[in-house]
Amino acid sequence: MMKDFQKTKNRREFLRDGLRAVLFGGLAFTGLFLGWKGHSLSGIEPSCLVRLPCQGCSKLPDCQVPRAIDTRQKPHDPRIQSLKTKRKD
Amino acid sequence: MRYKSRRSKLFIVALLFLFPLLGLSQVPERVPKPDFETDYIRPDFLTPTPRATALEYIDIGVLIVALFLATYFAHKQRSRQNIFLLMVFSLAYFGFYRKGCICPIGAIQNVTYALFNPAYAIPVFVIVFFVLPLVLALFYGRTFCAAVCPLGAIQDAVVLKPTNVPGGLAAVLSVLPYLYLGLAVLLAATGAGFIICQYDPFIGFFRFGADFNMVIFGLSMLLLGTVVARPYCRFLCPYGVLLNWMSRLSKRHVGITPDECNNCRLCEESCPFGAIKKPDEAAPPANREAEVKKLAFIIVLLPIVVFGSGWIGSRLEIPLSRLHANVSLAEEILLENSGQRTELTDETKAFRASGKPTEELFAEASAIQRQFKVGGWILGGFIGLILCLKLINLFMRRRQSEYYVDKGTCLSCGRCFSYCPYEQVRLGIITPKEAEKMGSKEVKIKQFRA
Repeated sequence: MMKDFQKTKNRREFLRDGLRAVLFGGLAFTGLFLGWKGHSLSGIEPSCLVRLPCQGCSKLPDCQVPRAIDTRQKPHDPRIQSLKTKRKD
Repeated sequence: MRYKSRRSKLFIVALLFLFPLLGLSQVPERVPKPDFETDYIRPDFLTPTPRATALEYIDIGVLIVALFLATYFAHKQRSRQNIFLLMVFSLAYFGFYRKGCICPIGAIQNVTYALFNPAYAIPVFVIVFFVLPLVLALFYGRTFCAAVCPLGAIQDAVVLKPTNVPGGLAAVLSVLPYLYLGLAVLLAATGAGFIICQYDPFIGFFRFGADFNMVIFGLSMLLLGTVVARPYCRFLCPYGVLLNWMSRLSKRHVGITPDECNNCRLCEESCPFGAIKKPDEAAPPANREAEVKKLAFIIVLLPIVVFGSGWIGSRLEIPLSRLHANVSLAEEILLENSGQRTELTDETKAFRASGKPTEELFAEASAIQRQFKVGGWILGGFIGLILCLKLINLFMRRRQSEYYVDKGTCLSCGRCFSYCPYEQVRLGIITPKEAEKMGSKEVKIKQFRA
């Protein structure tokens, strides 16, 4: 009886260990793949899908509103950079 | 002492409730609509400015150290006090200083978007924030939830008088995180948006400003959190679903007792999250044959339920796809072109000014709708599968002779530690003899067995 219980426990542990290894491998692979992809593509798209005020506005590259001109002159803000890149595409 | 801690908790609660109200008076809307005609003033961003790469690496470092400490405090030190202190630090750093961005919960969407959009470059620190807590949960349980998650911390700080959620209601509500996770993945995969960030109830607290409705939602969550511990974590958090799965397989998980359980039942009511399970022997003997029949019936029904709910999901293609900016724009253009709407919107004005052909927009919109149809099938099927698995779980019996923690739902918060007499022995507060006595005095299970 005790032996059977031990056997079942060992089998469960074996399955658990196997599944854990698969999940760990999956997470590691996903992380490495996305890291590699992110590295080779960096700077193409904005890092989140939160809608920015001028996102989708075709007028932004030529907009003459003073704040828009000011926005275009901010080269260090990646969010604005990404908007500009998108418009050029 | 007890009175003092209650007073300090009340102070924290009062502060948390006042913060968003202060912010609300300063910030009009998160993303106000632009005016294209005249006198346009471009609104300032309320989302935090991206950080320099070096600072992002500091965030990764802080996350690693915090995760390590949380695991050490829960597993090695078994110290609720240190877990609580680390939680306060995490709330201050990842919550108020980092303004709740990036967090692993929201990172689900970035990862999904990166997997489905070939042009999207996901930042390295987002990947780390997503993967690390999951890997840790795979080996040591949900120590991230215990002391590192700022959303969990803000709710933990307001737990005043936790009550048990009735089993049936808790079972029904436990499906919600799966639904939320499925929806978030579907919307991120199709590029419709990041709903987890959009409907984060606590982000307004961290940024001292949010949309009015979200402030109300956040306040309601905190108010509810005073009597139902961590309602967002338990009944909404989509990342909690993933952590739950990982934690079930964890190699080492925190236990209630540092020694052998003597079934004294002192810990029975100590967990506000309902993660402590009673020994099976204490439950009344059930009609095994009838239960096996029910189980077989559910297993036979499983493919039908999965297919049926998949079909329902696919029928949601139209309403769900409207959440995508291009689809809603295409619908507006269609209404205007057919004369059903005479007044132009800001979006349609901008689109018409761009000179892009409407046919191109319509083609894009129908392609997105097709994606939603496929996604709806998968989402519906997933929810059907979860419902069936939850039902199957009700009929599964596991032999358990002592009190144990449900590895999936346990947040490793350490609240139960001090309830165990053997923990008191370990800390040198009582003697082993006294602990034995407590067990024999209280336990009814051993008598029941005899």
